[in-house]
Amino acid sequence: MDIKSIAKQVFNNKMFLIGMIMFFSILTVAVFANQVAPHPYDTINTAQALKPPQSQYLFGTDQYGRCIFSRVVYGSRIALKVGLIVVIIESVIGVVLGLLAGYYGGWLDRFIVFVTDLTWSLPPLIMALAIVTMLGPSLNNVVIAIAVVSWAQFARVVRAKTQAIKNMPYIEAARAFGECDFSILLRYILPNILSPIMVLVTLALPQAILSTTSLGFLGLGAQRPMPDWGLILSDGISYMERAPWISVFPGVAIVLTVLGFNLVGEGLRDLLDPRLKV
Amino acid sequence: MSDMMEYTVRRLTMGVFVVLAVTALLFAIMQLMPGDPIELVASPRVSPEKIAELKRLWGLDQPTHVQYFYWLGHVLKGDFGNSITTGQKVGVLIGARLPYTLLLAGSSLLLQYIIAIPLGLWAAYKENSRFDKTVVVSSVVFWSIPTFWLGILLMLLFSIKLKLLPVSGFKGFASIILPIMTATLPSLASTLRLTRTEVLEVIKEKHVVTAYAKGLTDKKVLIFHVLRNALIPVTVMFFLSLPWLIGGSVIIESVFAWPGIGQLLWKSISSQDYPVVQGIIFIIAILTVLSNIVGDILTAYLDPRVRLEMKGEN
Repeated sequence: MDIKSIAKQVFNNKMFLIGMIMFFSILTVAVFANQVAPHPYDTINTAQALKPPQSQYLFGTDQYGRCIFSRVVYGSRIALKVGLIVVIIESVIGVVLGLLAGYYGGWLDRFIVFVTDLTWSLPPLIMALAIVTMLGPSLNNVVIAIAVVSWAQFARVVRAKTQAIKNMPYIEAARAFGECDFSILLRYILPNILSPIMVLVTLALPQAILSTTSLGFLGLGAQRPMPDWGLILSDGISYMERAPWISVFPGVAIVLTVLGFNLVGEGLRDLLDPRLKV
Repeated sequence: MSDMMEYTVRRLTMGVFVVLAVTALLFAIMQLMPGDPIELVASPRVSPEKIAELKRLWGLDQPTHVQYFYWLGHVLKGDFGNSITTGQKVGVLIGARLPYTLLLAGSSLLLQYIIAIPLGLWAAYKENSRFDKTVVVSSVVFWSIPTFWLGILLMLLFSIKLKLLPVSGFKGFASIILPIMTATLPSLASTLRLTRTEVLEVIKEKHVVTAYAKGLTDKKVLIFHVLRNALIPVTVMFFLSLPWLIGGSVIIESVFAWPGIGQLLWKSISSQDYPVVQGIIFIIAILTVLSNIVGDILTAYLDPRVRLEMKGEN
């Protein structure tokens, strides 16, 4: 496929394009949060408490008079950072285990499949809940918990794809040339299963952000006064009747971010691997 | 059918091991948790001798694996122990809450399938029509919405602005409407999408072309040839999504103060009530593993191709 036809496909895929635009806007907001946000995220000003949205406070203020718009803007950094780190960890674990299980088979395969089954024997959120409670509530522990419960998806897909290609003639040829297993896995198999992995990564990112904000909502993630979207939202519930904007706007931010990544992931799947089921 | 029996037995044995492993793992995790349940309930004035006696009474002075097998032995006799904070029987506590969670998860599961299957079939049949595109786009939007936020929005709209429905808690039939809507909408989107994808895949297969060539009407082909095959993965998904709904219940129940098992779990985790947490996790693990197994066995039963693969494996 030449570059022209790829570009054409990309431009015909409206969901992918819209997703990319959303993705880059959110990235810009996160990177330039200092310039975008009119106030610091933790400045308390009780004289301005519970103000509805207005020109000075675009999204209104909370019970301490903190600017919700600025808090939501700074919150994008937490969401993106946590999402990215989680996805890197879970994809590395999942891809390595999937490659090993698929390539070697035998008892190693059975063991890895058993561990995968184990992580699926409890709903992911409940597993993450147990892990964070054990380690203590903090953003780092949320990262660990979500990565631990969500690598199985990667392992399953990579294992199946590896099994499907490990007896292909070009792998046999590499083996005949005396390539070691490590080099076969890394230089022959991995590059050939890269597109489903890329699709999985882009679809895992919004999932990770949703899980992070869910744990934040339960008070297990970033601690006050950090502007975690889930945390701002749950703190706003007590003021829902008087000041609904406290809870509404962080939710809009979550939806737009997750939606942007989902659209990119869907688009990538259509472009790279339309038959992949995730 | 003997193959099916063998497969079922093998999966069930495996399932027992998985449940044992996960409860043992959680047991170990609980032991590692900071804080001691005794110190949480006993006031500082209680003498160390008394605390040691309490520990002996509850078996907390034993090594972890001994405690685990002790617990397991009692669970097999139907005794989950007593809650540390309230002293009530864990079995009774869970028994009082579980119906509420199952009611919520079950009705939202049913509702989402009743809506998703006809819509998904129709969207696939009219592929690339305006209706189909709306279905695709709105399903991506809906599964990007976090349930806690959706719950809050619905509450704002129906309870606070329109004053139609109760805000939270369980006060008769009206109070279940918002939690069900919150649980249903995001998963409805993914079921709808799955149905559509599966139907699209089956519609292009040769046996469907043959059915058309025989001169069958659209309606007959769609229902007897397409839907029947496309529903296999959709049916399996029905069972696989039950654990997700139970997991999500922690969030939904805390938003709506719904008196289910998710809220109980959340409360017990924060108060380090080990026996209750352990009991709930045990029940949820069994439910999850069972629904996974039922899903797998159903696939094998409904799809002859998978059955053949299984034979090849043996």
